[in-house]
Amino acid sequence: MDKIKRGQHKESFLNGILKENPLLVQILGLCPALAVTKSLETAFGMGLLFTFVLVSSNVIVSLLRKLIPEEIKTPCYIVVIATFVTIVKMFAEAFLPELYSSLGVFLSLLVVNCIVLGRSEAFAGQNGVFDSFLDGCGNGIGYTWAISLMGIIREVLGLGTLTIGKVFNFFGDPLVLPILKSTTLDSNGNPLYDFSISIFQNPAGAFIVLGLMLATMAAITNHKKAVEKAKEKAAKEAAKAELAAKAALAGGAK
Amino acid sequence: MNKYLKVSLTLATIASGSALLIGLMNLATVNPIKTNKENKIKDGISALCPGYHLQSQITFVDTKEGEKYYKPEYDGNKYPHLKNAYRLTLPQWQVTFSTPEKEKTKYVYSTTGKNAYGQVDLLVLVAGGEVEKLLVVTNTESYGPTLEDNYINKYNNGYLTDLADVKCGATYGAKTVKEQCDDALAHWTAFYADKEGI
Repeated sequence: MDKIKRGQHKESFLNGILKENPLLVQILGLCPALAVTKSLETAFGMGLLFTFVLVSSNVIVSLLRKLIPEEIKTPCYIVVIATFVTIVKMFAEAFLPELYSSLGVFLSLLVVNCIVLGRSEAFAGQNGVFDSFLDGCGNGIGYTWAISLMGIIREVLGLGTLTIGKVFNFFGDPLVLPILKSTTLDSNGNPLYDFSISIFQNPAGAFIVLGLMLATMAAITNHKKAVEKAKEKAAKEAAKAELAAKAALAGGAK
Repeated sequence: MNKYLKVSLTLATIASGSALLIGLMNLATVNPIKTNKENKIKDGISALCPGYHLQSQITFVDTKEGEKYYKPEYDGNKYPHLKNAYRLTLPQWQVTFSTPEKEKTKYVYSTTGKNAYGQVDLLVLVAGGEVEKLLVVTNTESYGPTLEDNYINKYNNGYLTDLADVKCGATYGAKTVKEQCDDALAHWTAFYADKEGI
């Protein structure tokens, strides 16, 4: 990757959010995206911890990039990433125990996450601290919104409700929003209405949701490209018509 | 030589920095983690035996800080999966009105087991020489819920009659659960079978 030039800071932040979204465009980090998106809160929590690890490791790798000899770059990057993953793991176990138990082994697996390692190798190892920080923030936010959206879709379709405050339990009882499934029970103990589809809570449902999201993203990108192409074509035709009109005018004048 | 020295020094410096950061974080989180684990076990015991009183296994041991914990009564080498044991009895008013079956003292074993895929911390409720119920405290296996859905919930609901290793696959550790239960039962047989008259 080329070094970032002056005036390109904004791009290094924005690229990761949409244009080069790690999950929906580069299709990286699929394993946690499929495994921890059963609910919005778990997915969002994973996104936050992932962003912290990515930003911290990017900054440290960028700071040390000129001091680390070429032949031991990868081991050093892994040590740096592993340090931040351990810190994040301890923090979650101490202060967010629900999130820690929901994420399970996938929190530890951030050490070998291809996005974190990839950004360290491809970006932070070659660019300044500020740009690496922005790149980490952009990619982290991009990954967080993508898996959070997956979490919302899977939770609503699979469970029929959207729960807020169960994992991040700071304000007492969690808030359960009945969207496809009623929280009120009838005399037989069944919900008044239930349109949830349980497959969306299973791994197969995760693949279906991811596939739909990727297809939507591809459709939006294709539509944008088609609009740009049409604009270019129209501009070319307009230029041609202008030239022809000028030539006709010149011919008339002669 | 210079090159090797530079490589060694760089690695040593980065490793030392990492160790320092992890050490500091450990200092900040060790107590909340301990409290969370204790609370989880207490909640688990209440869920396994609602209405029962928790009694100490042998004695309360007071540390300098005034903390209290239960001193386990087992040989760590003989029962490698056991971490702690809790004796549970019904409160007096319940004993008076309950059937003899209900008066049985129950024992909850806090156990831990590892396999290639992660760690399973389990509460094993033993009563009358049988494993009555199981409760997962933590499961860090790659696909944790499968263990509960396919094995533990089935056992708790009576669909599995014994703890035979019915379906030990690559993604969940029924084998370690069985070993944890075996240790709990072996300890119960060695220490409490006589007291319970079994």
